[in-house]
Amino acid sequence: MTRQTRVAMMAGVGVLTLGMGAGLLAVFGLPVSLGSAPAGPPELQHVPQEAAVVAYADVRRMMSSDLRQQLGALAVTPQASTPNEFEQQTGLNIEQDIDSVVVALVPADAGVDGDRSPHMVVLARGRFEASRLEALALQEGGAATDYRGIRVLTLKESEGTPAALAFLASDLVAFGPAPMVQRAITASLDRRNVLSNTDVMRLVAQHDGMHAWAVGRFDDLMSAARVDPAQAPAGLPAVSWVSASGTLGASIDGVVTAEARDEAAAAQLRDVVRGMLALGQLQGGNAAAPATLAQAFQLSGEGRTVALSFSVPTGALVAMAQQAADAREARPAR
Amino acid sequence: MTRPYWTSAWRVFDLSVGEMLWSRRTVFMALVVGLPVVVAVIVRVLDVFGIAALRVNGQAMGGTSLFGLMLWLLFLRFAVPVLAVFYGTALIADEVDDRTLTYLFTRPIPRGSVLIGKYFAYLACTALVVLPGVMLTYFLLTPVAQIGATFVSLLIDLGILAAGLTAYGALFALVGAWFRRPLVVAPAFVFGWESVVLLLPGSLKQLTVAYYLQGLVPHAMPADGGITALLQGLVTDVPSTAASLGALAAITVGALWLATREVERREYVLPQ
Repeated sequence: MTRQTRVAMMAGVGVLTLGMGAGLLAVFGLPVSLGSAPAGPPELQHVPQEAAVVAYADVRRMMSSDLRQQLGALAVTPQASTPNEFEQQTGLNIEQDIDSVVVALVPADAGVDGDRSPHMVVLARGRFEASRLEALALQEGGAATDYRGIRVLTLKESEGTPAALAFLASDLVAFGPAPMVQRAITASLDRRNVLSNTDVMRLVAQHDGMHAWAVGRFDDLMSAARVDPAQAPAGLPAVSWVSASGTLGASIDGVVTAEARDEAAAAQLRDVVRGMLALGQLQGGNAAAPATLAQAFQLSGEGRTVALSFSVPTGALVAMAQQAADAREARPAR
Repeated sequence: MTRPYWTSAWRVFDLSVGEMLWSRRTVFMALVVGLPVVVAVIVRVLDVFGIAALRVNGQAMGGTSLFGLMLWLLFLRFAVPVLAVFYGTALIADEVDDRTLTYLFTRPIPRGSVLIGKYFAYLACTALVVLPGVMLTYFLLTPVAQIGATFVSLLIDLGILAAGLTAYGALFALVGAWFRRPLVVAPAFVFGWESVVLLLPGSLKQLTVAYYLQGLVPHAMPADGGITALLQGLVTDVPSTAASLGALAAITVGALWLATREVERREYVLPQ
């Protein structure tokens, strides 16, 4: 065998070895980056693989937005300047201490015992006083245990599945029914998480970078909303996946997307939405703010996809809130 | 004194692997294997710019699904049999055409070891070009987040491709040893007989290699509903994994045994 042949064969073996190495690193959980990172926030590594609905909100950005400040000023009840009871007990100010939240729903038949409604886990990133929360849980009759090296606080429940809180990292907690919290821990440690769920991640990638988004299987969303399929409108087209996302700035921009089961169902859904938009414009009448809202929506989509995008100026929302506040004040007190 | 069989096969392997790797066939092989890699690079570049390279029913096809489709159509149903046809049939036929068979057969080595050594040289050449090509295509098409979940499937896919190269190669080594014009018979088998028989009901499809390879593929397809369902819909009657592996092993061993027997017994008439 000549040197040239040996080099060529070693090159082939080298590519295979490098590929094997990278693949096995990915399988056994060591970080592999080829210039791109998975879509969505890092909390998704704690979301179970079978999740049918996943939602994310950048709480910090929403709380600090101009819109929120303006709407807060119009609130009926002025914002309390002193800490409330929850904050006093937990040391947690939801408006200031929570940065982002991920909520995941796992269908009931996907491994968690109990009732048939979907199981939820909430992953919150922010600043938490672990020792204070643990002391509070123990004081209330709960328990503090370690599950696969993660501190888990199980809260005392008189009936049903007890709730649990796990400290996944110094700035990340998981909250939900105890079995779901354990699955959130397992999902990350065993690398069997939603990042390998191609259906969900495909939709997450479409909305990555938005301030808030939600993706999910339509049936499971209906189930989570406790809507009985038998009670659903008869003419509702067959929808398989829905997703929504939005950003908050000078305007609220967003898009709601539905994937129908086939093109005929998508066309039918477009007709339904088009009719609803027309009705909204009619009901808006001459009032400026509702008319602005109704005209802010645009219907699009092709094939099996139906997309409803909107861009609502925050000024219009503040104007509507102002009108409502004025109407409240004008109403005689009982 | 005749050298031991496997020592002789090793010497022939050592001699043949370089000849095969730097032959004109390798250019053809590079084209066959390079095409999916180029397609994968294009898909990856389009993906960076947010453009879906392939849509099915208006839906963008994911990288994992696209890889599954390319593995099935480009590698397993095209590249593997075509490479086996070109290399496998040439193991003995090339030596006859080049009138160099005499130099090998007059050496103090068993005749059968010539074919065995050349067969392993074919396997080394094709496997070391095809399998890295598949590996590159996989890493280009599969999203990083899905590598952990799909890599084991890739290893199974690589095993299936290696099994395909092994079985087809042995079969066409036999065709090359038996027939005077193997490049007529072998493509007719792959693109005629196998293509037709696989679509027919009945048990005739058991007389193909593709039937047993297809028996392995659905188990190894990446778990992505659409494409798996599509391909499994095309292949309604598939043997079990154990039966497929057994049949492929039997084809390989049987074909190689018959081919070495033929080479040892036959008096080759070299063209003048």
